[in-house]
Amino acid sequence: MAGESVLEGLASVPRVRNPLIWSHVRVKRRLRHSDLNMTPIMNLLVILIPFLLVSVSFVELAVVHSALSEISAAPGEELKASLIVEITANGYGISSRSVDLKYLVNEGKKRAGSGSLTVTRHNRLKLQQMLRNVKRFFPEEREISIAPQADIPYQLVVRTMDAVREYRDGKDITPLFPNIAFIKIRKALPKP
Amino acid sequence: MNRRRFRRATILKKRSVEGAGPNLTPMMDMLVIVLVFLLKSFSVSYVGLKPPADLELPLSTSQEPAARFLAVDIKASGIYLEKDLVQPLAQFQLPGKMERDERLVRLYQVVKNKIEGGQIESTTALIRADRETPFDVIWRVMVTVRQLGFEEFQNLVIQDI
Repeated sequence: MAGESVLEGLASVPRVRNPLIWSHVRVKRRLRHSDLNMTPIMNLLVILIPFLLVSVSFVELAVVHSALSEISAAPGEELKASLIVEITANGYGISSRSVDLKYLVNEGKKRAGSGSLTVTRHNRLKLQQMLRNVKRFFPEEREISIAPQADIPYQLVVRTMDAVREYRDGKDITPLFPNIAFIKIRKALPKP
Repeated sequence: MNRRRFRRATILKKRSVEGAGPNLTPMMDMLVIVLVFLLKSFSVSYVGLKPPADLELPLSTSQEPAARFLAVDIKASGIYLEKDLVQPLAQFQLPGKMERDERLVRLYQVVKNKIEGGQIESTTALIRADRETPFDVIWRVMVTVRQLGFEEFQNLVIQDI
């Protein structure tokens, strides 16, 4: 009986909501229903992506070093290769200012002379093979001169520079003659 | 009773229409992927090096990074110094009267003025020539610029490995 009277007493007490608890609940409810506002991020992305698309370069640029030739062999110096690769419409001509290259490749011995090598149809692999042969006898030599004819297109000149600069075997790169200089060969006019 | 149901249904419908915007999540995913890809490909080092659109650079196996120097562009229409036309060409050919002179006088004068004006300090020239350019034109540019003290030349190419 006593318990019943207590309950009745409680029922008569007016129910007061605790404002602190209720504000907490409201915040929780609001958080549950509100999504993250993506609009600023979207705005940023829409501006950033066209900017990057315009300025991005999908091609990788690089440079090939070159110079104008100043190679000159001092008299009495050790026999140097001082190679010259001439690019003509028919192919390549490899010569040396002091070494007989034909004798060197055929006999495997150095001797002074002017024997030269030729590669037809701009076969760069063959050119590279010959230069590797020469490099075996002159491992310290790094200079080479390239003498393209006046009408040779620049692309062929650059490809030739690639071939004489280094030899690539998969990921292995062996330098051949990386110091490249251009020269112009002036053909001597025939004597009258 | 029916009226109550109708009102309730209308409110629910209104709510669902208010809440249903376009689903942006897939678009966001896509944009984030594109952004990451572009940021990865974006290279600051090439800023200012990009050749003009009508100039097709040669391909090369070189991987040497390019740097910014005095840029000489050689196109079918002419020779340009820092995008200013210096010497007009007719399909890569020099005017007839210049055939015999190895030095390009106008290019020489413009570069000389720039050097005297303190606009050029390095002694390296960056040559951005079209892949079809005959070597003779490149040779003349090199000879001209070299007479003004440029010792080293960098030939800009597109990596092709």
